[in-house]
Amino acid sequence: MSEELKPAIKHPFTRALYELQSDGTVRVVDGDNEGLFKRDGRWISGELREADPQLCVWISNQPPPPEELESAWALSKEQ
Amino acid sequence: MAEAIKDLDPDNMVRSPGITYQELLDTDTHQVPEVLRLQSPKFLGDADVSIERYTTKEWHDKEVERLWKRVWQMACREEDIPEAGDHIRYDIAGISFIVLRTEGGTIKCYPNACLHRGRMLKEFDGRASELRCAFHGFCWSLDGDLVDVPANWDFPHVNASEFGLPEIPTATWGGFVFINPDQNCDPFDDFIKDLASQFERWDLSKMYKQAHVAKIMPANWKIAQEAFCEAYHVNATHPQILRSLGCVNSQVDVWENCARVITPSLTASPLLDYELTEQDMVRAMMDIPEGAPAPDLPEGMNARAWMAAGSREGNRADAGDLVDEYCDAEMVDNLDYTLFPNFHPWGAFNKICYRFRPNGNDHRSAIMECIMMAPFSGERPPPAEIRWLEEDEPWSAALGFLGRVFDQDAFNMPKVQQGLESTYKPGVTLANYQESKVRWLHHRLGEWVEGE
Ligand code: FES
Ligand SMILES: [Fe+2]
Repeated sequence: MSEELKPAIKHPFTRALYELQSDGTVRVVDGDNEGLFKRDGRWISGELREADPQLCVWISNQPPPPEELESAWALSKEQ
Repeated sequence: MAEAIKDLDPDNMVRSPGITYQELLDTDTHQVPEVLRLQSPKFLGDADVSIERYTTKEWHDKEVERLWKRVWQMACREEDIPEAGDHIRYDIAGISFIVLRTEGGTIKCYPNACLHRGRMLKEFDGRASELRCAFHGFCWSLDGDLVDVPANWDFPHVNASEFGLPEIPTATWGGFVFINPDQNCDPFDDFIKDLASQFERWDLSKMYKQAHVAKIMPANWKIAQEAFCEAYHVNATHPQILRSLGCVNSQVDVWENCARVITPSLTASPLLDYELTEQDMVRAMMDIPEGAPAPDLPEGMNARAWMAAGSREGNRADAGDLVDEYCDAEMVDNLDYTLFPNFHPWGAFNKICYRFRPNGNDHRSAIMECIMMAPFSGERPPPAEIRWLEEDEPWSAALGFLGRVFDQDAFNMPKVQQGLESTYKPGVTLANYQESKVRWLHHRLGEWVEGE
């Protein structure tokens, strides 16, 4: 994964783009509308007032790199 | 809830549009084992499940008396107590047990209570040469015989031969240790036979405990457990994996004391109304971000076969050539089994094994555990120690990508509890097929707890 790419995913139903910001908030772009949301899906700003909370939870939950995870499971990397 | 269970005809039943799991197996690049060809769909009635099962202390108390004090339950792994004197403390709904290895190598279980004035004998897991109470010093051997009473002149009424620690039935299967608090319980063999026959091919005793993570979840144990008993929730709870999971095409099979949900990977969800390429599915499965390139698949290979081949190579070092005997489905699909009431080992190379139980006697919180079982070559590696996550620690902190998925399930749990405390509706309404494992759990619970 390249360094500059922000974690981002398109919603499978609405096709809206969910993009993690460096401050941990989630930017959602749905067609011409866009909004900023907290990691639990709460609206912060922007004309887009609703987002899928579960996709906000997902994209904002970036796990530590495998070598920092404590469990051997994570260390085995082949998750 | 007491409706009779009816067999369904797998070839002639109401089911999701799209490819069936059995049709998907027909496309496998390897020979598909018999166990995946089994089908046991059931109609368990369409009645609502009463919410009192999740919200009331009365129901919890009945569960403790009629279920937890009587049912076989997984206590630990054999590898957790390899040496004489090794013991773990196993607690269920406020009742504590010691499970230990004796000098002779057998496994025994005792109520975790001194026979003098009742103090708990062992607060922690560890290794002991004897079981000496920290209150007045009564002492038992690992075999449970009374060996010392300080100032025993004052206890002429205590006869050592009648003062052994009571033995609690134990059994082992697949490297797991089970106990039954009921000394007059039904035989373990009857209890395990359905599951054991399913796992002949996937010998969990040959795996080791690679990780063990636990967390207190703010919801009734059944809310936590049922979050992992169907794939219907994937469309709303895990939208990110919808492009790589045949969620509503899962096959659900119900037997007497075990059930399974098999959710195929790398086949498009029928809930999507657009076509996906094989590469789209790989992107979703590997969580490759929008804008980053996804790997090219070799000519003539679909996503399932390609990911299965990758998984075979990834596991070859530890599992050896066994990986060549495993079909694509065994390498990539989600074979989620449940043994009543709360034990969930997954089949084949998927390492997950869950256990859910009440958190003491708080019916609004649960202990959720995820044990990862991995193959190994050479000497058995030591089992992972349990890691307890703090209240504000996500599952992803311990389990990485998989933990991220759990965190979405966990996000729902307290809201389900809160919703059930608020609803004006007396019951929850379940899907007939996709949620039939949840129905089966409640059917069994009804038998145990309500005597239905
Ligand atoms: S849609 Fe399942 S709880 Fe609301
Ligand atoms: Fe889930």
